[in-house]
Amino acid sequence: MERFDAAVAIPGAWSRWRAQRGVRFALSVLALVISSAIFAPFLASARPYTLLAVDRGAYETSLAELEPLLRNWNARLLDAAAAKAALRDDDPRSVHAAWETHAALLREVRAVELRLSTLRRYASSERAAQVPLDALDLRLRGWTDKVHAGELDDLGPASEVVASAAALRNSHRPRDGSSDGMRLRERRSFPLLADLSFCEWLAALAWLAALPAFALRARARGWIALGVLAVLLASLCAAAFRAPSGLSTREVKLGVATGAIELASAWYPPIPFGPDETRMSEAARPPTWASAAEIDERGGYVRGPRAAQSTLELVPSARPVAVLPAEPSLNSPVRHLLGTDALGRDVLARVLWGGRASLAVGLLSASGVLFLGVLVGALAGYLRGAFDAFARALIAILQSFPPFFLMVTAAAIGAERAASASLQPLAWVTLVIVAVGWTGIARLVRAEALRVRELDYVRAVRALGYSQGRIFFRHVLPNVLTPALAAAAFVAISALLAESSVSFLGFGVRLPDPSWGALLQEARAGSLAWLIAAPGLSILVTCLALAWLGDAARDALDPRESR
Amino acid sequence: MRTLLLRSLRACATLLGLVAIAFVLLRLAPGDPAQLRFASDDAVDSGAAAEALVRFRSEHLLDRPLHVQFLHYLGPFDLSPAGHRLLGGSGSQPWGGLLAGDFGREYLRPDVEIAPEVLRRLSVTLPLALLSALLAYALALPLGVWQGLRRSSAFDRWSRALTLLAYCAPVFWVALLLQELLGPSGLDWLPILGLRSRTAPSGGWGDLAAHAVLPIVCLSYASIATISRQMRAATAEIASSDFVLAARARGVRERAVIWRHIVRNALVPATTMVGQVLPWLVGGSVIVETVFEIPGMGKYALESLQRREYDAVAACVIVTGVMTLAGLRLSDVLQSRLDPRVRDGAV
Amino acid sequence: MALPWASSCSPSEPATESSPPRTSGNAALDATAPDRFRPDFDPRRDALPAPRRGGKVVIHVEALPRQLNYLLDNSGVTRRILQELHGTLLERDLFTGVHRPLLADSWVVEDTLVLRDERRLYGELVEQGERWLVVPRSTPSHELSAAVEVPKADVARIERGTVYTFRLRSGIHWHDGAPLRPEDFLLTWRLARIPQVRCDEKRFEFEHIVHAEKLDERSLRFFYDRQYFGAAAVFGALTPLPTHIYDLRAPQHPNARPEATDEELARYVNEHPANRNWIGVGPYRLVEFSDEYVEAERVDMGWPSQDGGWFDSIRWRLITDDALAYRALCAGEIDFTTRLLSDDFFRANSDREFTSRAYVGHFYTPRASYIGWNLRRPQLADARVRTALALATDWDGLVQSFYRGLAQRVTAEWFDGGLDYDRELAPLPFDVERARALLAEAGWYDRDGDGFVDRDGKPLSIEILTQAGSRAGEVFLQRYQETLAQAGVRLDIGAVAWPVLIERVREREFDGVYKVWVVPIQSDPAQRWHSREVGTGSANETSFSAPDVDRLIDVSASELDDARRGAMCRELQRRLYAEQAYNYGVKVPHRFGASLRLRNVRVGPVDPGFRVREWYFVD
Repeated sequence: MERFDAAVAIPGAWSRWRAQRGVRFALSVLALVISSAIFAPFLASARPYTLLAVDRGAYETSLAELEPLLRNWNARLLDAAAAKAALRDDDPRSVHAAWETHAALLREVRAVELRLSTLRRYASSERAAQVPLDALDLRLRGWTDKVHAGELDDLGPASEVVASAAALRNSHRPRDGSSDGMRLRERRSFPLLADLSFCEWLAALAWLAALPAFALRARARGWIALGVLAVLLASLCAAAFRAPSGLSTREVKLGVATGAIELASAWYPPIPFGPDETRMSEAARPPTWASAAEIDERGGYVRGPRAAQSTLELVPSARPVAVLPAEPSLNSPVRHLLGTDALGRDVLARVLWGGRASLAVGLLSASGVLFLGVLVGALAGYLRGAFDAFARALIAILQSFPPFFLMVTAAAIGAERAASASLQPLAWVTLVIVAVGWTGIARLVRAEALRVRELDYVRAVRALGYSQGRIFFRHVLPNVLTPALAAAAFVAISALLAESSVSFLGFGVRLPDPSWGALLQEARAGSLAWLIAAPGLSILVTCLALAWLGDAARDALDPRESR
Repeated sequence: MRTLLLRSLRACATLLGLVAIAFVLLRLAPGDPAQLRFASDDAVDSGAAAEALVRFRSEHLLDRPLHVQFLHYLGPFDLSPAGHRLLGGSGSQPWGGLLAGDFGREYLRPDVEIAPEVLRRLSVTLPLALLSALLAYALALPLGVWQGLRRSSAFDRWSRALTLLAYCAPVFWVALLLQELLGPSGLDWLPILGLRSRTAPSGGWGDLAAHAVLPIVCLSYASIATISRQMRAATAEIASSDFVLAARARGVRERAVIWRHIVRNALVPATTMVGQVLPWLVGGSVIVETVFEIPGMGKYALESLQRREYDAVAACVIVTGVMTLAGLRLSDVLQSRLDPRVRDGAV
Repeated sequence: MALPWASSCSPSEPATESSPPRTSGNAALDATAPDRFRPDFDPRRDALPAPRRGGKVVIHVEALPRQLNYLLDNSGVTRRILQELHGTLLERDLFTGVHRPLLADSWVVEDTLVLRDERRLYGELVEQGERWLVVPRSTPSHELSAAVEVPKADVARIERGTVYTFRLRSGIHWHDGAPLRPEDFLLTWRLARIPQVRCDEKRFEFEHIVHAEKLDERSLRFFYDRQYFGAAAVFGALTPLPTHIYDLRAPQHPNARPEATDEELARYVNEHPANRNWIGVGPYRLVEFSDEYVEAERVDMGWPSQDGGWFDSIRWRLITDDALAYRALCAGEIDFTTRLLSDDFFRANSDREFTSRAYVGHFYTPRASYIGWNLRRPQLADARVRTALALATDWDGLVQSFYRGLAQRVTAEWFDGGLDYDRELAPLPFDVERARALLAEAGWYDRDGDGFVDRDGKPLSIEILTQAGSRAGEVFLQRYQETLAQAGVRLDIGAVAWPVLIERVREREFDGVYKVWVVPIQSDPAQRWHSREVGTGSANETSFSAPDVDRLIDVSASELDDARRGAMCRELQRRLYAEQAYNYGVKVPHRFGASLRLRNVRVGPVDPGFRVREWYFVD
């Protein structure tokens, strides 16, 4: 086979690959795993998709905070006026002070506006209710405009505005049971969707777009698949590496439970628990379909070995177990399908979310390894000379470390430094896996490139005087991809395993974010069987699917093997 | 002679690169060892003398530029204030550094020299790793050949599925499961802790063997999968190659075909893995020794990482690096012995 | 000395005191009873079997000591091991904390009378009208052979309890056969004064011993520079070091070099092989220090039988992972651990593998978890903010779930059984609403609608450091993150390696730090709260400083009367609790598991909470 044309060979291999036994099944397993990672926020979250309710708590807080915030505003206004008066163009300090006071003023404006908009949102739509709010808003806006325009002298008496806010407090007091007050109206909101980041949307949409693409023609499909994969990877990683918001995700459920939110209707995800939603009274509970998990309202176990514990006088009457709205009842078999961890967090939710981190690191570092390995290997093999010598020396040095050993060392050492440089630990782990792992691929590809550059057709195009870049990218690079493609799935497996091992040793994700390896590390401390099973099985299944696909790809790309 | 010289030069350069990478990596780490030295293990904390801190830093050259630290580390001259006369030291301690066989002392236990400590730990890790490698090869080679010769048979399919499973199962998970299942809280078949039980202070090979079973299984199963898969592919490729067909056509006996033609040739790629298996096992020992509480080098390396014992971590990295290089050399030698193109002259 | 905490000896545990005896264990018994957690044994009914010598006991340690020289390594593990390998002048009773002589035979405390011309007289001071009567109590070689009278006009000041004269027990020998001599105690003190000796954790203990002298072959005397309530504890903890091994300048040393400089001596001590191959005076002699364990065997070096130990040998076995300690106990690999995980502790009684071999129990020593705030951070400088942060802490939830009721809230970091602890002071409740209100009062509102309160354009965002791998810390902080978020405060969890944590706390580059503070049973708050300890690297990590607190600390330190000092300390406690520079957490239990073969296991509040040398096997 003198001339190996990637454009012909790879699609051929593609169809051979698809035809092999188990490939479709493995593909669908992998698709399922990736979907569950991408759609984790839609599957397991404490926030409802939609909510039709009166947020009475927010309304009351806004009402209460309006007056002090107005006072603040007033004070900042005076500051701004004073700064303006002291402003001299030739004095940078005074300019700076004026700028500062102005920014402070704008922050207060925003604070008051937020309160007013909450009030408007829930206050009755009657004129009597809305007009004073509009009036107040208008008045404040007028003031701000004057400040902007620099007319600080005729602002009028501030106490009047503050007094009007105090009056609002009386007139807009919400109706409480039988007492008279303002009747609030229900409004619709989308707490879960509003909390999703751009990257999460992008990942979900790209994935949805990818599915119909499989129906297209082979050639177009390949490109679309590649493009979608790139977008998917990028956004999944961005989503997984995003700094944790640190927000309490169960405020809606809690609000409904305490009566701060008066609910008309709500639509929750199938698993109404967030990955970091703690439930101390249900800590370390076995899977709820097991009979040993049955508990009473005090959190005491009814049967099984744990029932003996709850009779110990040492345990004081625990707080009643809270069953928040939308959650399955206390002893429903589907309440915690995989049990809970030491903080009472739902293990299923954590495994789903943990897949995001693990898959993001695994897939991204696999792509990084492939990219770097192919690039360096092909360049070294094609260019020879100094670059080749350098690459070979580097590969020799890097390969003389036990890879996992080097990885753990680098991950451990860099993690804190990375964190202080506001790099997510996971991103650092990814970098480390790429930096340590690219040499294997590079060696394979370099050997292939050495062979290809001496082939007749490459010599021919070189004799034709084509530029180096064109020869490299058009003729050499596509033809050295084969070994890299054959190894791709196994690169992904080792990246996944490396990430989980590093996390297991405690150098991975940042608390409380889950990843499969980190979940196993937590499980190790508690020696609870249900904590060990699920994350390990997830890793195993994902890797198995990948390995199956990789075996099939290897067979398909090697014509001698296929039969 | 020239090639030999060239080779050893190249090996030296690789070693130097290895040491440099290890050194830079560890010096870039956060957490100042001088501070660490003056921290107690308990939460009980007291004021540390700033003067002692400064002295410690200057003794260990922590206040000097990185390249000076590297040269000091590499040796054979000691660059510290007490170092060699030629380099401006007081001369009380002229030699030091790696080239003088000195890996330094631990910061926290100044009476512990790192080089003998690492060697001691290695005397636990290395036998375990070698046993695991032996086990892996002893099981994987016949398995791979068998699979390769009986491709698509039921045996092939099932054993391949099994090796695939082994290839994919994360070692720490398997170790945890085995501990749960076979340990005292499960079936109570095997000890899961350390290498010795309390009742066997010395001797007692049976006790040692029982303790070593689970760690060796955990260390070796992934290698078994990898090697057997490699062996299967190689056997299959050679079994269907032209020269085997030709040999069969010539009427060579089937047994001879299998042993002389197929197995011998299929062993070539397997020998290239000799150099890689050892580093995998040493890397794996970090996890296995941690989970099974075995005081080997892997555990030492991890603990040193956690305690910020830079010099100890560097020593472990360098020692394993040297072992890896040796493994690679060994596989080169083996390969040139086995490669029929070298031995037979022509095929 | 009155025993301030003797009256409330069981460390306040209402749940067990009022409950009827449980089916398993006898926790309701008198806390000092031996084997009170043992399921089949009731000391009121049954008699302890007679002690027998013999056997090897294996005790779990979570880390091996760096070395066994107490001066150089002050870690808890070292202390626990040295308790059997070594001795101190005095020892505290396990339950009452009262000093009793150990290496000392007897001791005499005298006062100092400083004359106007700076001359010092010491002896017992008796006030007689316009005169002080100085009565010499200790012998030999006392400056005063008879009592003298000094007119009050000549007296500049008096310092009580500042001169300690110890008489050593006779017949004690080092493990290598050399006799124990007064020089050995003086060596510890002298080494601690050499800055190059790596004993920064111990040095401050000795800084007020101004003078020490040997009187004869069995007596020595120390002079303390001021009247100080904790002076006895300093001498009580004083460990001897073998002069013939460590003191390069002493004539007893085989290679004595009298001209050696301090620096040479320090280096010699720092790197001496005996730091690992310890030679002590205790009833047990070190025989092996490996990577897995430390082993010691009983020797007869002159100890009376009740202190001489019953086991033939003791092994301290390293098991880093506490979950494995439980299994090791099941398998009979170890006989005693104090580090059972909560889950293991509570499942133990229903696990036949476990109950056939061992039983569980718990005790408390003075150690409490807390979050220390860095008061130099502008957002944490306001006590209202700190109080709000404390109100948003679900300590009670942690007690109920993670500790399952075995931990108790505390309001100070020191021992909660003494006179210096105000047990009436109620800890702050878990109240997110009040926290939000307090934050608003301090000017923190959610101005930009992101869910977190802010002021001056900066959100209230804090990072709390904890040791990576510390289970309690990680569990607590993850829960705290959620409750703080409900209060509108953003929390980042900084799980970092211990050395990094120490460094960042030293450099004051932290917002908050979660730690468990282990304090001696009688502790001096000066280190933590006095303004002279403010500054990078010193122990007042919060940088707290208040003149009235300083005054209270100073006055109480020199107060020798326990009742009066207790009252001052309680006032200090209330004052500090109102400041909330620490978010005080819970008193952390030691959950222990012990083999059924062990007898006479007593657990009490004085560190480390048990005495291995009292135990024995009967089979």
